[in-house]
Amino acid sequence: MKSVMNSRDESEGLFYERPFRYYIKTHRRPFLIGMGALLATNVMDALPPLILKRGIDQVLEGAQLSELAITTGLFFFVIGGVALFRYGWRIFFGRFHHVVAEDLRGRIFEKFTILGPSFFQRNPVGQLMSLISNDVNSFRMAIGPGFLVLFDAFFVIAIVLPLMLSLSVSWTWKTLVLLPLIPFVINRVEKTMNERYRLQQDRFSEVSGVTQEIISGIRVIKSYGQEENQTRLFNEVSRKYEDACNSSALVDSYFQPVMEFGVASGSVLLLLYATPDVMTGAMTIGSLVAFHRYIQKMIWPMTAIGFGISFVQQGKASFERITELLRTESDIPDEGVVELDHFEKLEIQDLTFKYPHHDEEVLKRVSLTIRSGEAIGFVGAVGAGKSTLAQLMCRLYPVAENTILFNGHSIEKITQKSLRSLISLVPQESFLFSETIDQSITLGLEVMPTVEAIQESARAVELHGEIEALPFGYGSELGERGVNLSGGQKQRLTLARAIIRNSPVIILDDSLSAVDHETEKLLLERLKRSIHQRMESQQTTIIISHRLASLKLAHRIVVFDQGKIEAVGTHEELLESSPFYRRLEELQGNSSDLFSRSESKGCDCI
Amino acid sequence: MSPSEKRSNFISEDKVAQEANYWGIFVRLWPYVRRQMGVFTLAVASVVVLALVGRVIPNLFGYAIDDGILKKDLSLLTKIAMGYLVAEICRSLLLFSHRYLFNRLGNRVLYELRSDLMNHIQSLPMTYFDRNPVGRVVTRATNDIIALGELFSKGLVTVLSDSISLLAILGAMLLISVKLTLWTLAIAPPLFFVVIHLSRKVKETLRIAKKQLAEINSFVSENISGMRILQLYNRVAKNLRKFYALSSGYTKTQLRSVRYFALLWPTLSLFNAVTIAMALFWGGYLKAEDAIGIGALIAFFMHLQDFQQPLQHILDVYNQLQNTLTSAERIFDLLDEPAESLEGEVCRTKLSGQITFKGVFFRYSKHLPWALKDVDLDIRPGESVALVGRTGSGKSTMISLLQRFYQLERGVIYFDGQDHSMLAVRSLRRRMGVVQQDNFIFRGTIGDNVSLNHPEISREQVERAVERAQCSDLIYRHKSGLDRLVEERGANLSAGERQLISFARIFAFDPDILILDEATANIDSHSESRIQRATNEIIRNRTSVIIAHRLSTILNCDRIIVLSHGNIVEQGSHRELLSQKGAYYDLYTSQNTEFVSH
Repeated sequence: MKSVMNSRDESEGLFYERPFRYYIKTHRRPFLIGMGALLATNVMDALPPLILKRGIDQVLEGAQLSELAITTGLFFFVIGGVALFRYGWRIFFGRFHHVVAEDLRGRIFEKFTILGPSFFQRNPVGQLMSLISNDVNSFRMAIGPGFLVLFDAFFVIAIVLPLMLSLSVSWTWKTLVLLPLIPFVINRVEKTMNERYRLQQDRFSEVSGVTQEIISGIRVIKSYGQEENQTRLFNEVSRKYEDACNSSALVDSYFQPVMEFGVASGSVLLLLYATPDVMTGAMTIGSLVAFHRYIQKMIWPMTAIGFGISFVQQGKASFERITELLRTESDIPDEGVVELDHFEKLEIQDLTFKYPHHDEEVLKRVSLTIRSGEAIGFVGAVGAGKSTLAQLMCRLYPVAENTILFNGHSIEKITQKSLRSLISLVPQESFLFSETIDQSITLGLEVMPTVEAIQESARAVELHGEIEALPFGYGSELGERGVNLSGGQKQRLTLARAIIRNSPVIILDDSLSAVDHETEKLLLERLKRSIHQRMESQQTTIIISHRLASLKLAHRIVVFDQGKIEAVGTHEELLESSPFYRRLEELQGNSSDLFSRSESKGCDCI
Repeated sequence: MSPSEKRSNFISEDKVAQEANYWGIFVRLWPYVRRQMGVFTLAVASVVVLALVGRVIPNLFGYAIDDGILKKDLSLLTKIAMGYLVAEICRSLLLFSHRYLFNRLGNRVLYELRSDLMNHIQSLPMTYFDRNPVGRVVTRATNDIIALGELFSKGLVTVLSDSISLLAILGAMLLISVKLTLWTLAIAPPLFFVVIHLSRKVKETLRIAKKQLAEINSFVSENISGMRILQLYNRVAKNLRKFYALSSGYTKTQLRSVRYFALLWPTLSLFNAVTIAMALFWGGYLKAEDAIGIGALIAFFMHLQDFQQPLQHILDVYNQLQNTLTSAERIFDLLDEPAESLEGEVCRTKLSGQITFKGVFFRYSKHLPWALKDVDLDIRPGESVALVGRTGSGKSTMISLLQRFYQLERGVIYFDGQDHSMLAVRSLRRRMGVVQQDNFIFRGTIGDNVSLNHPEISREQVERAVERAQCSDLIYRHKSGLDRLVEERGANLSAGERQLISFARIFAFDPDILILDEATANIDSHSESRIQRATNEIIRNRTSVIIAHRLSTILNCDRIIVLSHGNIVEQGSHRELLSQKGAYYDLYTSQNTEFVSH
């Protein structure tokens, strides 16, 4: 066991230090076969000019057609070989780099799944997406096509150059003297090109941004009749983008001509320097033609070196971004060993908490004990720390040792899976995935429950009728391409998701705010009843709310103020002890009270 | 009705009306290209001359062999080498000019297309935006336009210039020897057939791969956004498995396309090689009969070699751009989307504020119940009217109809006694000011958001408006004041501040009719009293229609209209309605926490 771990660690080290070597080592077979086929392709592909030379010289000497037929046959044979080997390296090399990309994608996604919310708050989705799509692709291009062209270039030079020298040493150096300039030129042009592309990209983002704004704000624009004005603003940005496109088009357009001129210059030099040799008969016309073809063949490696190096460089830069992610340690590592199978009590002891990378203390020396079967209400102003505490109970953020304990075990010692089977948190903002409604309800279940169980949980949140009314009922897709639920429906759906889990602890983090009043009343009544039931089965509920009506269901209410617990007690106790709670009661108290107040106020105005 | 049809009633599927094709795109682009006739002609001329110059070069080589080397004419050879050099310089210049000109042309065409598209999008009826999510529409105007640009510069231009090159090559070969050309190319059709077949396969595989990639991307992006939920609900392992499945499915498709490509390119070079071999054999035969010079034969080889590149390019385009073709087609579909009808011709520069609803019936779609049923309402100039009712009772619909975002099904709305369908929509909207519940804040400065960058609104007007909206001290608390930058969607402003900015907007535009949808969201107490004062200020001397949530606002209004299920059920003052103990009374007693909790 231990030795396996060690060798894995070693190969992991290689992965980070020398990713190319790591992948070649782990996918040796397709890589080596691909390389072999590539070498064979290049060897065979170097022969046709020589055969052509033989053919032309035969024609010039007026050889028999049968001899020419043999040459033609030879030509066919070689070309067939080239085609076969070319097929071979494409297959094996293609497999190599696509499989590598898949491996890397998997590593990245796996990392995403173990990182806590603080990571995702620091890193925008777009950036992470670019990592798993663009950067993985750019690494693939490096280890695939990038490596390929570099090897190919090397093979071509290693094979063609000796052949050229064997034809004529003096022709070779006279015609190839300018060739080494090509990689240099490519490098220079690429730099300019990259700069201009970057500018073009930035300008494009601006265009995107403005478009996004106009379409999101279409109602305001239409309301104020600002259509033409907005188009004018859009056109300004759009014009700048056009300019940037033109400036990169300029570089892009002269690149190829310059390259091709480089090739052609070799041919001009050949005509100037080589023809006297042919005239004197020192060389044949066939050699001249063959040599001309070899010059053309030498252009490719020169171009390829430039491209290959830039592919590899980009791939390396991408890999660095990828490893930065892969090396990020989760701030909530799942290293616990304690398996919780039931809930006795939750103790919070002298908990002080700052969000990672923030200085402000969101919770200050909070202590609280919640026992199984209790219903607890959390109340307090926005930012008082209620939601933070709820999230800490689920270990979404790291806390100091022995500040949060379940059944006496410090939270980080508990396996994440068992902790999160124990608690169902219904967060403030409901998040639904693009899946069907029944899949969405059963999100937190290991095994698919019966249809009845799903429907029952939907009934519990008054959603069954509304779901049934959809054309596909429980099979309706959610999300952009499916049905659009209202805010209240979404909240009820996420509540159903928690109810069906039937976990020992349930936390409602202000999760009925968008539900209309009548339904809310109904749900709360039901919740109250189920809390009573839960008491018998020793289940625990934490309700975070601004509404007194909801809080009144709790056995105890905890009042938060600026990260501290201001008071704990029953409704009646708090009316005595907590000024904040009293004010809330004044604002939201019984209706007759308000009725008279508003009446008098109304009189003032009328 | 098939299931898919039913589903599309909810939200329109993202698909194109008809099968996309290159020709269709070209026809749609032509009017834009025609506006740049000068550049276009120059670019096409470059392509044609380039193709011709390209053919001169092999012939020069052949000429050098036949008349220079074989006749041992050194001075002719030097001249030919110089001619070669000149031809190459010309070729490089033409290659540059045709690329650059076409790129410029393309960029201009796209600029104009973007501009037209933006104009068109803004003229679409609100129903379009109800059906299509923002992201999709943005994609049309940005990424799809880029795809169209690629289609233009890589697709149409490549096909045009490479077809001309191919024609020129064929012509040059025929000029050297008709017989040899025919014999050489006899082998072409069957190989060509194989190539076409393979490239169809490639196209199909690439299409699938692209779809799978899009699926992976949307899966990942959704999972990143909802990672917290996945972790809280122990769903990570399952989604990880799903990701692996998606990812390896994509790899499999990629490998399939690798296989087709592995067959395609060798076949194409085989085609090239076979033709050269044929030329060698038949050329030798002809040479033996002295029907062709060796130089001409070599020139023929060189022409043949040049055949491969344009052929490869065209195939490439055919394969790779099939996907972009769909994107491009979508743009034109969007352009064909009917614009909001602006049929009214009467432009009013001033409205008294008299509004009459007469027998108004409206529903959002034929499949949905009435949102408003037989609504009759008379609003006097300067009157302030509060709309109250439960969610879905028709309050928001009424204000949307006032702004003419939707067409009535029956009945008429009159402004100053004039049928609103006779009024020009934009001029009508311009006379109304709207404060929404959640006010969209544009990127830019606070000042820009007040004036919406309208050229006729001066800085002084903005300053005054801010003052009247009770928020000058809030704004000048920051030293950049009106020039303070707001983040995307006003993220650095509180809900209250956003509301106040939209009030300031009203003061800046000074509309005749105010439409106010009061915010229900939590507003900090600091902004709360300001909003109260601003509301009082704003409804003075103006006809106002308010969806009211605050008691204080309701009490300040002249009249309360109670809506229920699309009907006006009660109207009157707060006291009158309470004493009736009817719908308003129920609403008030059940919702009073809402009324005062903020």
